[in-house]
Amino acid sequence: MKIKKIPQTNLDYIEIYTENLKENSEFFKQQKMIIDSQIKSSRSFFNNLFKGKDFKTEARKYLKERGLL
Amino acid sequence: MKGYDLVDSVLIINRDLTELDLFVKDFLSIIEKHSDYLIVSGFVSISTGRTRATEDIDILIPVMNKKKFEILFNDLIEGGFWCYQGDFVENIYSYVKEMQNIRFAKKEQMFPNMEMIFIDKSKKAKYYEFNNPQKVKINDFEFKIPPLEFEILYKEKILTGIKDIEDAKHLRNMFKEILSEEKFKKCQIVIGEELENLKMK
Repeated sequence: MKIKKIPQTNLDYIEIYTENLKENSEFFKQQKMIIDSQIKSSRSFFNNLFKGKDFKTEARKYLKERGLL
Repeated sequence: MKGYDLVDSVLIINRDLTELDLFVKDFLSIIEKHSDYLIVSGFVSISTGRTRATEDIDILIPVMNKKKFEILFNDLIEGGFWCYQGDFVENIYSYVKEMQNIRFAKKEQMFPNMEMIFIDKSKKAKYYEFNNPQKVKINDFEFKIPPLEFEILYKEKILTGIKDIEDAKHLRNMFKEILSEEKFKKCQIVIGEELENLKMK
């Protein structure tokens, strides 16, 4: 991995990451692992939370309680 | 292999599809039968390599009459989606008519969700990006996003949150070799007008 300067902020890390990503698509593998993991975790969390209940009813109740609906 | 290539004006991202891509692809396969669309905001950055979480994918859709919306809505339900706002077209169309956003997720799932943002000519900035799409291709998944220059300026000048500034930085750096100063100038005019409109509200 190329590092021209020592990163200090999130924006510095983004710069380094994109410089490398542009040259080597292998870095996308890490991104896929993180995104896939997030979605699987979310699915599992809500399936357990609403287990045995009507999903849509519970989901709408959950969203309303958090001001998201 | 390089992270991306630009071939015949199509941005080709050289990576495998993620679960998030498959969700969007599934949704678009239904939308495309009924309407034109544009994917905007976070998914633009994430699909081009930004590694961050997202719960919703924003999609611009031209506002439509009730009959057309009913066919689209029913097709989405048959296609395995549910709508946060309700199960009946009668109720949901009141949101559409009022140009309020509605959300769809896969059945028995909460996230990710697609946030439908209805537009017409009165929403000038959104109408501009909608009519100047950039095609993106990831494997066999092709979709449309705003011009990169527009997306960058919109995040830097209008949205301005930390997440947005980071997304803009990602896009600026990732695509600096292909960004066009001329396009930036054109988009700046539209963004400038949008900022003025927002100030007046």
